[in-house]
Amino acid sequence: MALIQREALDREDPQRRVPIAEAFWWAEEDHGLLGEVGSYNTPKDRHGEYRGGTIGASPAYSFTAHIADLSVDVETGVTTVHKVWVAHDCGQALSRRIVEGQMEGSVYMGFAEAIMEEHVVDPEHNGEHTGPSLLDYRMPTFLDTPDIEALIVEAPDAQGPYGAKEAGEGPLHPIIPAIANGIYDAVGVRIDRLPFSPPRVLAAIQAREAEVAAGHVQPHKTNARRAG
Amino acid sequence: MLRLPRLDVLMPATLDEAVLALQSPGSRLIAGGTDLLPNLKHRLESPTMLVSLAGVRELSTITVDDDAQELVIGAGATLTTVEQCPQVRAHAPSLCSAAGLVASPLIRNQATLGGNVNLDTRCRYVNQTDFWRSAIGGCIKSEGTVCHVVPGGKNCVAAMSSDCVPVLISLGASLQLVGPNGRRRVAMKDYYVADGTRHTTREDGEVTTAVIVPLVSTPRRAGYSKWTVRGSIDFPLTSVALCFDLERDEVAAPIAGATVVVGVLGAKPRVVTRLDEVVGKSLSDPETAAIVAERVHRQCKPLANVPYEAPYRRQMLRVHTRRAIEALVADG
Ligand SMILES: Cc1cc2nc3c(=O)[nH]c(=O)nc-3n(C[C@H](O)[C@H](O)[C@H](O)COP(=O)(O)OP(=O)(O)OC[C@H]3O[C@@H](n4cnc5c(N)ncnc54)[C@H](O)[C@@H]3O)c2cc1C
Ligand code: SF4
Repeated sequence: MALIQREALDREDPQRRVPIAEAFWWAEEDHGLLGEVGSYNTPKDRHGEYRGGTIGASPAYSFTAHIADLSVDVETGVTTVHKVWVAHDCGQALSRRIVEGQMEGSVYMGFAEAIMEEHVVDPEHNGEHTGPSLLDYRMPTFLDTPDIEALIVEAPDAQGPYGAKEAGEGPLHPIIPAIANGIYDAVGVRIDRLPFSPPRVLAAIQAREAEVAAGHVQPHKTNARRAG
Repeated sequence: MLRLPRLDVLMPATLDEAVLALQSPGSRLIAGGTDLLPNLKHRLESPTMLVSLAGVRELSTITVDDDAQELVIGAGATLTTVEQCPQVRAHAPSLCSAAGLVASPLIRNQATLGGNVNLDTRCRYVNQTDFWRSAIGGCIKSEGTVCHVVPGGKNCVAAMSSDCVPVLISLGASLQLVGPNGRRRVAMKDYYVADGTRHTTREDGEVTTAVIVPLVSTPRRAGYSKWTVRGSIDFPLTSVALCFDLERDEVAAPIAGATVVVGVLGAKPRVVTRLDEVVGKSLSDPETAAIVAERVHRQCKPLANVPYEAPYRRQMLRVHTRRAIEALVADG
């Protein structure tokens, strides 16, 4: 039997054919669920002694690079990320669509952490979380999320399953420093606490302006402001 | 999951029936429900019966009354309808902007203008689950006796958070109310009071039937500025409505009158005073924007009632006011 163009056909007599879904129904009626179970486990001897080293890391490191195009509004401290390019070496991509989805999701989550999300508890009110709902704990909407371009880099690793490395956490990490560097490039301030919220960025810009006024540092290049 | 308490729902077909139903104890008016239902799920109130305005057709019309020179918007009109209505766009464009900036498209399809002008005040310590509130013992507006925003305060300063209200006040709008004792009209600038637990002068049995905006035949430029962290969903964190009457129909013309109204401060929107200094100045004169922004900054002091840094919000009032005027000038 062969499965061709959504049909199952008899190899000996190709005129005998049925839609593929029907062929699967028949087969499952006769044999139960058509499925195979398999698993992959990370090698036992790879973990280090450091904290978190025993999680069962993949045998090879993945590699990721991010580029963020952004602008900073010097009057409000609002950082607008316009576009992110993410290139991720996942080893062999077992499903390109899933790997791309992982990369885009990672950019979104890391971007959200960089710009908005923050767990704050209030010691003056019995340690209550100040953003206990999806209204007060702000996560970016479609309107806030930059365009994302995912570029898969395939460099298979002999020890990974079918040559795969990973496409989980790796594609997230560089977005936060990429945005931090972008802010530095735009307005000359280094923010080393998350998130890079408007009040925090504005305070840093104003502190720098005061330093400039006092003659302690040079003015930053002045092409930083884009319409915001 | 947060559930609604058990309650009855009545669906009257006429305004008279609705007003009558509202006279029974424990009843509560509901329009789109986008404010009331979350508050009920948070157990901030416990009515036993909701009187729905959804079936009262007479409340959702929008008309221009040429004799009275008024735009009459039925309280049941949805914010989507208000935003897209050509008559509103022609006579009150800043109201279209404000209506179109509320919450999200889905909520605007459900939310009504009547509900928006009667939106309950909001505060980070009250608009939470009853479980969350129980850890701080509630507050004056809920189960408690203290205020967490103004420690030692006896008055609730929860924020008037409607986007349309500052705009409507800036346009000199009034409300039509119908209650058991008949109908009355109240200027919106007098409708709100500085008490977060009860911030309007609406009587319990009264229904807002219409929002009335006077038409003007003289040149005018009006705008609305809202800032939130996100591009959608969020309630305003700064909210400024501006209305300038001009001597000629161009932005370089001298200003004949200026009204600026700021929301999300306390329970009452603030009408900014001492704007006479810009009367006679050109709207496009950068000094005009600077003076108005300065007045707003000086007179408006955001509180720690909504979830964002108050000092930053105050700084931003100045920036956003100036930019709103610059935008009016750029639009010509
Ligand atoms: C996630 C979220 C985000 C939101 N963001 C915003 C925002 O950005 N800006 C904003 O302004 N609002 C916002 N809202 C609040 C709300 O959606 C709007 O204010 C809406 O216009 C309320 O209208 P409604 O018809 O749904 O009111 P309802 O919930 O039905 O009613 C609100 C209140 O008004 C009373 N009421 C309703 N109609 C009348 C009437 N005709 N006469 C007298 N009293 C009446 C009700 O009894 C109730 O107390 C948001 C809500 C949610 C859930
Ligand atoms: S302002 Fe004070 S009293 Fe009012 S809701 Fe907030 S914490 Fe409660």
